Amino acid sequence: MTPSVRSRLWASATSFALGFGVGNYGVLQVPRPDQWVWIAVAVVLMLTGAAGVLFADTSRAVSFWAILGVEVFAVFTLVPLLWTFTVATTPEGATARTLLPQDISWSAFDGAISSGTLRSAATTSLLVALVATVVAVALAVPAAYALVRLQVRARRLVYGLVVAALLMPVLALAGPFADQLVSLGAYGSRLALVVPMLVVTLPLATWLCVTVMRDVPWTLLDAVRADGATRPQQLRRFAVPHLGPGVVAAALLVFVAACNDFALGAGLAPDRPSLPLPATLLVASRQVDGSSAVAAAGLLWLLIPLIVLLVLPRRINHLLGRSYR
Amino acid sequence: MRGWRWLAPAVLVLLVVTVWPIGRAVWLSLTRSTLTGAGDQRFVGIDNYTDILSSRSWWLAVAATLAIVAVAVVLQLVLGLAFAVALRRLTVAWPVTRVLVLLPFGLLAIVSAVVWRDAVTSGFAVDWFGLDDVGPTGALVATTVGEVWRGTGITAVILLAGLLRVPTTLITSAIADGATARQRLTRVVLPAMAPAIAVATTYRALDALRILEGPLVTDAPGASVRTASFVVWDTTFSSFETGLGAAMSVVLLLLAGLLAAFLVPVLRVRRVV
Repeated sequence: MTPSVRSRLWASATSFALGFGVGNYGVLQVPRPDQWVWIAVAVVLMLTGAAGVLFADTSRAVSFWAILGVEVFAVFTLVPLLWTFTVATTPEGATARTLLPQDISWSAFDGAISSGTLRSAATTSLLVALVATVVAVALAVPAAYALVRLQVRARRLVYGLVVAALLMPVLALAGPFADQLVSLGAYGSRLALVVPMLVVTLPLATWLCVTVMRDVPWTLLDAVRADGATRPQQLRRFAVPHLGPGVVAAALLVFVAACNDFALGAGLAPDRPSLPLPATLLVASRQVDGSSAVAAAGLLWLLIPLIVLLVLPRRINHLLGRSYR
Repeated sequence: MRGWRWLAPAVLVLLVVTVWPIGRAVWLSLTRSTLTGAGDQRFVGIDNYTDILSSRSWWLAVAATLAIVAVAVVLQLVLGLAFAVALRRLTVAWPVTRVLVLLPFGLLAIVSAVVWRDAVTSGFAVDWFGLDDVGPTGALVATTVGEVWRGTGITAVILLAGLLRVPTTLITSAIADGATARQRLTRVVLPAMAPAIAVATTYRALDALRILEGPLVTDAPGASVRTASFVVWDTTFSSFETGLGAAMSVVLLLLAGLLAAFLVPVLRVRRVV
């Protein structure tokens, strides 16, 4: 579908005007070195406008509105990430004042990796998230299978319960859980965090697994059964190739969500040995030079979702998009 | 009833981990107790609730929370829809944009809150926009923008999935019938993706309701604007007033329930397993 000439000209005009405005504001108001960022963005936008005029009357199936949108999207996404990097690489004792990093020092990253506090916090987070994810997925896969495939009475009720638990303000449960753990004498142990963490992982796992199960070609299973496949064969030839990737993607998402949970971890752990990473970062942000330590630790922690996204980009997007339908 | 054998373990565990603490919250909310001294619980009936419901600062916090929810959801929907449309048309860039779009959501909320607060209190935004001592309220606005930034990507992914379900034949026949771009948007695309928009609105609204990290890192003594979840946190884990905090938690849960009960019929969210 080729966009019309008029639509392309409008897109060019908009993007040129936007670039012109950005460039002027940058030159007049923004001090160096960040001025260069504004000028670079302005040049890209105005070049898009020029290209739009040049290609307006061709039959290429390219939409300049889309190009403009993706450029705005890239700036919107990348500027805060760049700022996080700048904060993380600010030398000790200095405050980051510009978006572009001035003198890069990696000491905050070194500190984050070698700090015993952060390391034990990261271990707590990963351990708790791992156990809670394994338990949740093990429970969620059969539940999702029943919800999608079998005739269950009160199916909608169960599904409503799952969604309600997924969207509930978890913070409201942190206080009662803490009180319960205190009276059990388990306040402050790592493993005591796993049960409350199921509030986060179990609904999410069930909800994602329902989507996974809906996409499975179940008629194939009937065919495999009709052909007389044994149980192990059904498992190996049907379940692993058709269910496996989806369940793995769902489990990875649940794991990331459990790692990033803040309210429960911060409320249920009094001090260091059992404090998960997000809660530790809150404590760290209140210290001197805290921001760069927090930003460095956050960027390192971002590697986990980044790896997950790079390994299974298509499946993760598909799963998230379709789950929310 | 064969299905219940598969379903029962998950449902049982889910009920235990949700209903048990909610029940405990209801029980605690009827007592005056503290987190540290577990011994001196005193039954006070509905005193905690009358305290909360007659407290001006609680209702101000609720109003601030609802305002944040409204602004955050509208911004995320508008930006997310624009980005979803752009991403859909530019399929060449998908390998990159697919990763980029979800990257902010992977950043810890606490980290995003800290760096956005720093941006307006001492960072680049001060010089760029000539800000002058924004105070705790300005910092709260900045962390809310940071939350919008984190959530826009996931909103775009939801809306993109809705957009991809709009049949291409419908759009081409609308073009053949001579529909203008605006007519195509309002008569074809938006109605066809209405379910996705409804779900995105509901989910993002309930997610915005539980924002906690931003208010936590921007709170200063004498801050004029506080959010409901922050007040719950402060009461339970800073003043250790478990009974009052539990009553606030129950009210917060009811608030979330009311928001859902308002949004679901209004937007006609319907979803079958």
